[in-house]
Amino acid sequence: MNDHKDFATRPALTDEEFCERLFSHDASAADGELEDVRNAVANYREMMSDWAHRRSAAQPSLAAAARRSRFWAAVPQWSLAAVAMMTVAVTAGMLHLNNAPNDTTEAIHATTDAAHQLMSADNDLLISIDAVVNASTDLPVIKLGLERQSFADDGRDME
Amino acid sequence: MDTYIGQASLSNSRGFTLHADVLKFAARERVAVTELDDIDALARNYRPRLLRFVMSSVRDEDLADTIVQDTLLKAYRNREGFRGDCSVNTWLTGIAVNLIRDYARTQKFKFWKKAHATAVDAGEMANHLHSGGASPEGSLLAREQARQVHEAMADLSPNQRTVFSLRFLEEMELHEIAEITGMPVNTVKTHLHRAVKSVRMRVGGQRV
Repeated sequence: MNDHKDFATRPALTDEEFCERLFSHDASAADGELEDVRNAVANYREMMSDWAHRRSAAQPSLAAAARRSRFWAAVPQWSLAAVAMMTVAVTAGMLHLNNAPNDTTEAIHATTDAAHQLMSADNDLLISIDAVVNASTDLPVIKLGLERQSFADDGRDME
Repeated sequence: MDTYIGQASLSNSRGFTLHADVLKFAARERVAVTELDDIDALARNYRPRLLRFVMSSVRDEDLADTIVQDTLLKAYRNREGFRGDCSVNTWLTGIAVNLIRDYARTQKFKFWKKAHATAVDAGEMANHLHSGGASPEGSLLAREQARQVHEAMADLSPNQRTVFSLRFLEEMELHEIAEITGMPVNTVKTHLHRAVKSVRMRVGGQRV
C-alpha cells in the first residue's frame, strides 16, 4: 500500500533514467514499475535461454560441414583465380576450334569463286579471240564461190 | 598471436618488464585459438548463447538456426584472423550481427516476410519456462511477462531489437555493443532508450 502511495507522490522516471536503472540491479533504486519491467526482462531472458538450450541439443554436428568447407578455405585465392582464367582460356579455345570449319568453308567458297571468275574471264577471252579471227579472215573457199551454206547443201545431197 | 607474443619477448630481452595484462592476453588467446580449432567444441560452448541472441533479433526459428550455423562455420574458417582483443563470445556475436544484417540486406523482403510468416509463438516458448519452484500463479505471471516482452520486441526496429538483445540478454556493456554493431555509443543509447520505452509501455503500461 505504501509502495503505491510512494509511486503516486514520486515523479516518474524518464526513459533514460529508467533504462539506466533497469540494468543497474540496484535494489534500493527500484520502484514497482522498474521491478516489474526488470522481472519481465529476466523472464524473457530465461525463456529464450531455455529455448536456445533445447534447440541446440537437437542440432547436428557441424564437423561434416566444416570438413566440406575446409578444402575451399585452404585453397589460396590466387589459385582459384588461376583456375578461373584457365577455364576462360579453354572455353575460348574450344569456341575458336568450333568456329574453324566455318572459316575453312568460307575459304573454300572464296577459292571456288575465284576459279569460276578466272574460267569465265578465260572463256570471254577465247570467245573474243574467236570473234576477231572469224570476222577478219575470209576462208579461201569463199573466194571460189563456195560458202558455208553450199557445203551444207552438198553434204545433204551426198547423204 | 605469434606476433604479439614475439613483441612481448623482444621487449623482455631489452630489459622491459612484461606487463601482466600481456601475459593474460596471450594465455587467453592461446585458449581461444585451441577452442576455435574444434568446431564441435565451439558449437557446444557458444551455440545456445548465439541462438538466444539471433532468435531474439530475427524472431524466426529456422532463420536463427541458419544464421547461427553460418556464424560458427565462418568463425571456424577464419579462426586464424581472431586477434584475441575481445572474448570469443564477443567475436562470435559480432559475426552473427553482420550475418543478420547481410540476410536483411540481400533478402530483405523475403527475409521479413518469412520472419513474420513463421514467427515463433511466444506462448509456446513460455510454456517451457522453468517456474523455479514458484507457485502456479507466479509461474503464470512469469510466462505472461515473458510474452509481453516478446510482443514488445516485435514493435522495435531491427537495430533497436539487436541493441536491446545485446544489452539485456547478453548483458554487454554499451561500448561493446557499439564495437560489435559499428554504431557510436550515443546511437546505441538512443536505440536502447527507445527499445526500453516500448517494453516499459507494454509491461508497465498500467502504471505509466
